[in-house]
Amino acid sequence: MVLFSSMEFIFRFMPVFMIVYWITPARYKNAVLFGGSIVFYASGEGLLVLVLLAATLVNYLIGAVNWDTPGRRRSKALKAQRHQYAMAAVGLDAAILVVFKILAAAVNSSLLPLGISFYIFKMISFQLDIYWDRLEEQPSFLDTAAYFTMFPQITQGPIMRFKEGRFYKEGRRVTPRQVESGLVYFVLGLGMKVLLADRIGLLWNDITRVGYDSISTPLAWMGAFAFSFQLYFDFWGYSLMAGGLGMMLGFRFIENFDHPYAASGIADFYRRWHKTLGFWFRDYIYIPLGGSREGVLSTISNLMIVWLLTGFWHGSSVNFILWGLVLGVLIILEKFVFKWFLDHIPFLGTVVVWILIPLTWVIFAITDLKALGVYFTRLFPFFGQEAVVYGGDFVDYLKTYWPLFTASVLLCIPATFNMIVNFRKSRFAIVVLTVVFWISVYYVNSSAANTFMYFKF
Amino acid sequence: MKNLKKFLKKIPLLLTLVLTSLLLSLVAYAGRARGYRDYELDPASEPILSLVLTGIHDHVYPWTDPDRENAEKEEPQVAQAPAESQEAETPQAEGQEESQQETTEGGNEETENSEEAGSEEESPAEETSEEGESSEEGEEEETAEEGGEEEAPQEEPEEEAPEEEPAWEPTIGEHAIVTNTVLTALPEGVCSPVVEAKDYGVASSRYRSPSDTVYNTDTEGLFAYRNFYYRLSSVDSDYFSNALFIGDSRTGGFSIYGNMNESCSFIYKESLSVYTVFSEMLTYRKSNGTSYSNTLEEILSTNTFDKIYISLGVNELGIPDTERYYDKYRDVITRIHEMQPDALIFIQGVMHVSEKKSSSDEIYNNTIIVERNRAVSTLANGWNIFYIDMNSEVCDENGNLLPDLSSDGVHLYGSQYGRWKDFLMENAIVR
Repeated sequence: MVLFSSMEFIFRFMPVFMIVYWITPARYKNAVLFGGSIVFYASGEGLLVLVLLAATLVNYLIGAVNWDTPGRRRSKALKAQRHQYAMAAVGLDAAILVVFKILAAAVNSSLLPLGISFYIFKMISFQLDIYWDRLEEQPSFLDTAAYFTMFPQITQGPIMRFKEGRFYKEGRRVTPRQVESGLVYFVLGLGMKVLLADRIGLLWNDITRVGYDSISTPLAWMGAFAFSFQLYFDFWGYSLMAGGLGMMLGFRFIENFDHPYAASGIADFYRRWHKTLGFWFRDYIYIPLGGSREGVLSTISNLMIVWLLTGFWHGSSVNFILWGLVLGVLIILEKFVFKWFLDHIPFLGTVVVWILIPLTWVIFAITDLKALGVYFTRLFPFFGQEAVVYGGDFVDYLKTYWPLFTASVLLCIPATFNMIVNFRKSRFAIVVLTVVFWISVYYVNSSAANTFMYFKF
Repeated sequence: MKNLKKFLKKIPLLLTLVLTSLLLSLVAYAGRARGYRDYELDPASEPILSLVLTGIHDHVYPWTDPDRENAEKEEPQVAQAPAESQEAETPQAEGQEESQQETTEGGNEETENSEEAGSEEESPAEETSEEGESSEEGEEEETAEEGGEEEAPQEEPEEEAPEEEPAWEPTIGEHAIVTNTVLTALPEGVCSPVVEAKDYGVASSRYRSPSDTVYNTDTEGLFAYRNFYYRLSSVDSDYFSNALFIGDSRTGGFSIYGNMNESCSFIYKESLSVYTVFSEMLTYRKSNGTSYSNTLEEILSTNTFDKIYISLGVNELGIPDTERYYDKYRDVITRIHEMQPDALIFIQGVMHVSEKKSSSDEIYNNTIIVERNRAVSTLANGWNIFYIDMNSEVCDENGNLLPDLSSDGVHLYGSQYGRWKDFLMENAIVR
């Protein structure tokens, strides 16, 4: 049920919860949201919901103790005390995240509570927003708990800020137009995930199955793009579903992706990719470290710290650290060495994005470093020796996958998506969205109805 | 009323989705009595409309007659197990001439019956009658073998009763080993042994059959033993020049990475099973790279193959149970044999899965695989149907697929299909 693209969520949890939520008076909506979210989370994670509840309670309490009306004059002692509390809270939250990550890596991956990377980051931002006087009113327990646990965002973000959420009592009304727009985003996201990401991802599965040493160079590149598209449309689709659900609950749409593949460079790509995470690192790590204000060396070291942390946040195995490092280096090179070229040669930045970003995703995808090395020797076949390679493999795959690749490229062009959103109220769009919805549901149903059908050999 | 209309105008998509959901639910309710009658539904987690979607996937609609569907599915099984042949087993095993004579008579009767009925499932009956013939001719055959001319006496009965003598009576080639009595078990070396595997105790009983289930070898017909058999021997890769490999994604991988010679053919599809092998559009691929879609039926009726290798069984693991799998496998072989009477048929045992999978998955584990391999291995008759098991090439001492050979624990890496080919070259039948 914790998957939005499941029959149970779409036809059981979502309609029941939404109806209850809509008829609940505004002042009780946070309570319903908190309760529903806990049910949602517990249905998938069982007892690990206790970690979420404990972290929620502790963060609320520290936040309440540290609350002080913004703009008030404070004594030195009070300032020091608030600093201590804030640091203690951040340290505690970070420790929870690190401990569970290590536990999952060392013992069993099932010990990692679902979405902990996301809700812990929300908690840290909450503590620092209180400390930095960024909240106007003191949040009540239910405001806080609903914010931390809200089901649209609990599993994969977006990492919304408390202020963006209008959690205070009677601050949130749900209008029919909002519900309709939210539903449009939900259906678009569902289609993206089920019809595009899940299906183009099968190509990557096939490549893994065949073994990296047995793929031709064109197939290796196709694989890199297939994985990149899978990741993009899975995550963007998921974010659209989350944003849409949020709108149906009366929140404003939280944008997590802004056409990254139309970016003018690597740094720009990451201002558009998983925006809420990027802005979180900017606001709570990079700028407090000094950002780019204290000279070139400090900027370089700050960027490297941010990107190493970003790598570790995505996963604890070495390839994620390597991925973060590579991106850090690329962004530094872009900023200090190649800036002139990127600024003066049109489209160069976008071309660089389309070549380099898929390569970085390969590092992201392959956790085993030796296998990663093999994959790169297939991408660049100048060194290394091949095993049994069937040279025509990419032609076979292209025959099957060209419609998905075409659709993916089209959706990377901002105008395509913007057009869909602009025409969403037309009769034609309603028909298309309805068809997309039911085909997606058909796929969801046939992969879930029988457990064994999910595995096809 | 006006307000409601205004309100509904604001939510066209929500309205459309709600209405289409209701419509599908109504269809599902209506079909519950007929087309969807046999579907299980957990209303706590599944909406009733999922019946319609599952139905579309299975080509079942509200008006589909479930009894007819089932009848179609069961038909071959029913036709396969005539009471007479079971009764005949015991006397045959004792090797008494009189009871063999009885069987012959019974068999002939059956032939007539089925011809009258005009049924598609003639094969068991035909086989029965043929077996009867051959036991009558037993003495002559033996005499002829002593003289070193096996073929001559066989031609005579063909002329006498050309209608009842099927075309697939094999010639007893130079590699056949002839015994004086009809075999009661295949000697060692005729098939490769079923490779055992460690049982981790995770296998769900739902997909298994009771351990005392007996898969009897028939005493007559296609699956019966003869008084001769062939032994596995090694060959070079030219052996596969007119071979057809039928299978699932594993065979698909083999077709690409097996490095087989150019005139070898493959027909496969991901998720293929013994239940669907004759009903689905498959990929037909020659080793020289040409491939197109076709059905197995079409390929078998427009080509002639010397050897047919079957590799199915993984996708069936999640379908109960072993006995049903065995029955269906038997049907598939019977049908292939009908269409390609001169071909050697190789039942390839299901390749085991990795320890990681086998020790944790209640469906995809070696316990069930070994049980099912054991069951279908009994279909081998030693003269045109053989069981071969390549697990000896790819498994560790616990019968688990070696972890270095596969990323998902189910499929070999492209670079490892050579092991499969090597095994086939070491375990071939030369007639």
